[in-house]
Amino acid sequence: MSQIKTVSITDAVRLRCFTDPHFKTMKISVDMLIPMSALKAAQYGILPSLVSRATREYPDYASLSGRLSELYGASLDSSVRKLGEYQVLTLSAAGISSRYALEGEDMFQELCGLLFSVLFDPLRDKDGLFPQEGFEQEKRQLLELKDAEFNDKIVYAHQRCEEILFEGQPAGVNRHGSREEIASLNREELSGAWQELLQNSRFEVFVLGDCEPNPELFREHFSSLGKPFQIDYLPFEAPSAVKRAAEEMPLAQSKLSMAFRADFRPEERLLFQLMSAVFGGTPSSKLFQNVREKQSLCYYCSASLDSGSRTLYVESGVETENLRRTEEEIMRQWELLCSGELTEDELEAAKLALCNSMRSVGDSLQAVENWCVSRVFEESLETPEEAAERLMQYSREEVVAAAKRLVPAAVFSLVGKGQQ
Amino acid sequence: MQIEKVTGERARDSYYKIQHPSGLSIYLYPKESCSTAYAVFGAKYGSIDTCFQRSDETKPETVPEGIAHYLEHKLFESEDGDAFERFAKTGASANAFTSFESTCYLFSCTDQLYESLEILLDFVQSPHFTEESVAKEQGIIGQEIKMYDDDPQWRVMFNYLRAMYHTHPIRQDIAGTVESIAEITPEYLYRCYRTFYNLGNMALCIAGRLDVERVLEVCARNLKTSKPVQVKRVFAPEPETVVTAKVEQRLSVSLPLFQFGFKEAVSGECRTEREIAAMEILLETMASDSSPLFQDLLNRGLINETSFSYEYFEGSGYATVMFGGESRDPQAVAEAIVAETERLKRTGIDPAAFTRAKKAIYGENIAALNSTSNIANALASFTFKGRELFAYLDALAELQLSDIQQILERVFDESKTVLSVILPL
Repeated sequence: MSQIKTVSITDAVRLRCFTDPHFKTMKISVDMLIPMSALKAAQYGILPSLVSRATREYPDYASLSGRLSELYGASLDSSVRKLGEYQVLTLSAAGISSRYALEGEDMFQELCGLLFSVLFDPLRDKDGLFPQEGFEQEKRQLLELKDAEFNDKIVYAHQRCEEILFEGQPAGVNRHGSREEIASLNREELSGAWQELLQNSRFEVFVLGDCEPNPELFREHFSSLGKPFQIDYLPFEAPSAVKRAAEEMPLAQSKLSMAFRADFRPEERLLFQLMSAVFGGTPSSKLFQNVREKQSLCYYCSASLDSGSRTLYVESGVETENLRRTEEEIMRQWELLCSGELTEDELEAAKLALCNSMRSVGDSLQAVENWCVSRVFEESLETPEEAAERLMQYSREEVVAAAKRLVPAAVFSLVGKGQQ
Repeated sequence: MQIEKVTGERARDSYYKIQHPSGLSIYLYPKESCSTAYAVFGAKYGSIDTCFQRSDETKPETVPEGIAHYLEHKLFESEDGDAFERFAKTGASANAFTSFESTCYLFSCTDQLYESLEILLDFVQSPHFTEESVAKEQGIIGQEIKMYDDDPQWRVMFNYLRAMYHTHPIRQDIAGTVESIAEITPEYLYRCYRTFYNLGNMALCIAGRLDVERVLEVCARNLKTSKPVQVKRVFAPEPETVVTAKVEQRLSVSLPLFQFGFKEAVSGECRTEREIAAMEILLETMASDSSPLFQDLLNRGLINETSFSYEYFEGSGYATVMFGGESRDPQAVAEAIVAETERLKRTGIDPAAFTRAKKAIYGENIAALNSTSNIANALASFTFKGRELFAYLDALAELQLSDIQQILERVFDESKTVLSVILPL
């Protein structure tokens, strides 16, 4: 794959360029990382969608959408996610590369123009506030997004598990803040919050795909922004007991979401990813082979590592009467792994699957961005190729030792009581 | 062996279409710059194939719902063991899916493409079903069915199809029901396997980093020529009317979900590239973010940007234009959509909106050609529906405003609409 080139604009702003003329598209993306705070989560959480719904040149949603259609279905997107104790707010512009533009448009210039206008000069009304109509729309839509998260029970069970695990801590705050905080937002506080974000975030800026980035352009726009700070993993506190919660709902299937914590260093992340894959990340894994294939308890039972919060989650959907049995079987599989029950074939399968996934990163602009953002905790950026090579060196013993460092921390059961 | 190079002037890409002597259609789309290769080996056999007529038999046969999907699960097991275990040795990421129209087995890899391809071709051609292994799968598939029972998006869709279609098997759940899968036996699986998994009814599509010669060498070694059987899909006559105009279900949701749309009268054939392109542009013109309809619904707080969607959903013997999403007042959304179709019939389509829509759809299709999985899946889906990928891109570019105006009159008939709603408990 092409190389990811890093340019330090300032201590607070990093530009990553991954350009490759074989892509038919390009993307410019700005990720703002800011410490998660219960007080500010809702304010910051609404801002990316609020600022990107119109620009001064295209002052309403319809005219901006029309312009994006004219630019061959280009997108001006926003997102909000959580990475450990940080809120990650993203604004991005993406579209086809200029060589496919039928009327000779310079797509890089067009996309940068749109993205920079929402970042640096968002539309305001005569009072200097974000326009009322757009604000009300975004507030309503955020509340509806919360409803949608409840509608999807796999997502809901996972969120509840995370909430009980990190109750009262920044990592337990919802990425968009709480429903009540969103409902009570007002325009006055948001105006200042946008400036705070630009001043206090760490910036990861990306230029990806078939385009020619000009670092000077980004230096000019970004050098006065942001605040340098060290980004660290969520502090580890050994859970004193497993936190448990259960909720009943009229559902055909119950959901189980379990969390384990582990105190690992950034350079050990890869080892824990491997352990997670061995445990429940592939069809050859312990959980898939035993909980699903041998015991036919479920359709899915998988493990995934959230490295930012150093938490391993196990999720499954089962018959209500099998909830306890499934949890016991998951724990038994973990204990067996800790006792060294791991064959070289199982280890090799997990390694090859992870290598395959890492070596695929360069084929997707989104995957390249995710690769970099999820590694902000690390001192230098390891390429997917380097990571794949390092991964292959881990031994059976190291993986078993990593499994032993997991600490059971929380269990959430969504108990199905029969669909209506 | 016939090898044809198909070039898309607009995509600036080429692929090879190969008619293999075994009867298999092979599509190879090299992308040397990619790290990955993505391969799909599929059969034109989906959940709608519950009644079929073989060319070497005199009568059609009806089988229980859910066999295509059940077969998909069971083919991964063979006498030599589990296909996943074999893929584990090459590192390829393997999977499979069953749709209404086809069953596809696939893998994505960055290394050992030819070894993984051997495994793919071998396990799909090596059925091995026993009473015991069939019984074991019932628990797993039963949980898959129950997972979808709680999924409001899945439910709103199937309730919609059941309200729209009287007899067409599109109204059946892809996995069948807990009751119908209890009827499935090894005999049924073998019977359907031998009917639909003959190479003349299948396709192999690979996109990404590949060498055409080497792929064909693997095919030559591994394809097992079977007796050619033509299979005809048999459907009971489907009335032009809908079953019921409104269907509701209550589930554990906090915001209602809806699916609303129009039933189109179709013959058994699938639509052409040109027909699909025309409908896509019409829908983009009518309901995309920049359309008056979308703006009106958004301003009235009736939809949200995240969930609102529209689609031309069509295949063998069925076609419907549908709109879906979350809304506090689905009935008002349905009324606004109908009113907009009536307005467009009267006033005609705005030429500027038409031009914008064409550009947007062109761009989205070009962007989709970045991805090896998109390309291989599109090649498979197009071939099973008798269409060609680049011809579709050409049809999009050549479309005229008059082509889409006439669809409005034909498709959007208020008397053939269905509104499906999932309400909170």
